[in-house]
Amino acid sequence: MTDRILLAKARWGLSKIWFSWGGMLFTIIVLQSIFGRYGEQVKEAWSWFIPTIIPTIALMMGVLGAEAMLSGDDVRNVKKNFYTITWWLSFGYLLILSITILLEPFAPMNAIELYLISNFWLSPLQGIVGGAIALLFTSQRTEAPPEVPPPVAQEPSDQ
Amino acid sequence: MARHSYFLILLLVVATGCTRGEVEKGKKFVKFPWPPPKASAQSLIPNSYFENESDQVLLVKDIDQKICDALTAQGYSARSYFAVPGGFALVTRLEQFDEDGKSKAPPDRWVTDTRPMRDFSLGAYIRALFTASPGYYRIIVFIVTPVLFDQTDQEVSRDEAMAWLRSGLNNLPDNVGAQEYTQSQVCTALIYEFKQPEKGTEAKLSESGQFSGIEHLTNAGLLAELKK
Repeated sequence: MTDRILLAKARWGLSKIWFSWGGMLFTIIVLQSIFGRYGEQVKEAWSWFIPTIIPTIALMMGVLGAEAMLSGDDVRNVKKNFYTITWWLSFGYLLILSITILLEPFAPMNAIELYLISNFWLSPLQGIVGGAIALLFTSQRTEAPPEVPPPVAQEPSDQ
Repeated sequence: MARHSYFLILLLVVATGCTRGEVEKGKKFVKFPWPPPKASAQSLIPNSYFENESDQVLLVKDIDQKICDALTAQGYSARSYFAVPGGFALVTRLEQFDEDGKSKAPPDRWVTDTRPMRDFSLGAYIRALFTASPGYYRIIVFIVTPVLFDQTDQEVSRDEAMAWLRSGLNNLPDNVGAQEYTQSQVCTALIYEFKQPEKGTEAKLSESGQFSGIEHLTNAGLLAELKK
């Protein structure tokens, strides 16, 4: 049993959890903004939320897009353990982020105050997760040079 | 024995409710800001509510008693008195009310901040998650005076309004209560309504409240009590 996984597969696995979970949280914040949950503090709510997921998702989107432009399959692979750790770190971070948003109605302070305080536990986690994801997503693949047919030896002309 | 005596005195004071008294020497019957700061709503209480079935002369203290009885029946135990030209002002404690104008059930009724969710139900949770949960507060000031008055443009803060409860007298002075309540006297209820956008935020005076004065008094259950 191999202890390695294709880099493209690892990236796709991480992208799936980030896009689906992040998209769900994004939708919640949009709905809260529409229904006036934050009153006059909508700007503050978005100022807090955007840096929590958008940089990671933007990085993933950019790398996946760049990869899509390249021809040929990426055959590079990474240690499966590293991918598993990164996946669970992402899961943990998104879970803590969700708890912060979803349990806010039970908090004694107002939403924005809670979100600002949450930076104490979200920032360190985000740093660790971001580092792991950056390693997996920023290793560049150079395009293989197009295969050039070997030069055919030309026979000297009789002329 | 001494402990029993103190207890009996305390019991007597509590039981008598709106007993009369005199202002301590050297102290004054504190004046209410005059003309009153702008209120969110106001309502004149019809004099017919205070009519006396017997032929006895109606005194200001009888009006006070009637208001006190209505307040006590609806759970307003704390109040304070101020002097106004020709009469008095009775200030109730700040209370929190629901969106429909009804007083919240204690202990939420008397807290000065909206509380986070405690009992879970899916509907309430979804509402709390997606919609704002503002806090609504009111202070009712009954002004009994024959003097006509308007309101100033001064906007009173919630803290200032709450301080009225501490700075006024605990009872109506005898000399004010002994005045005759004539047809020229008017009892006006001023309602100071405050809205707190969210828990932990500052509550601000709602200049034109969501309810009229009469609706506030009806929702607070006071109008029905005064009619009795």
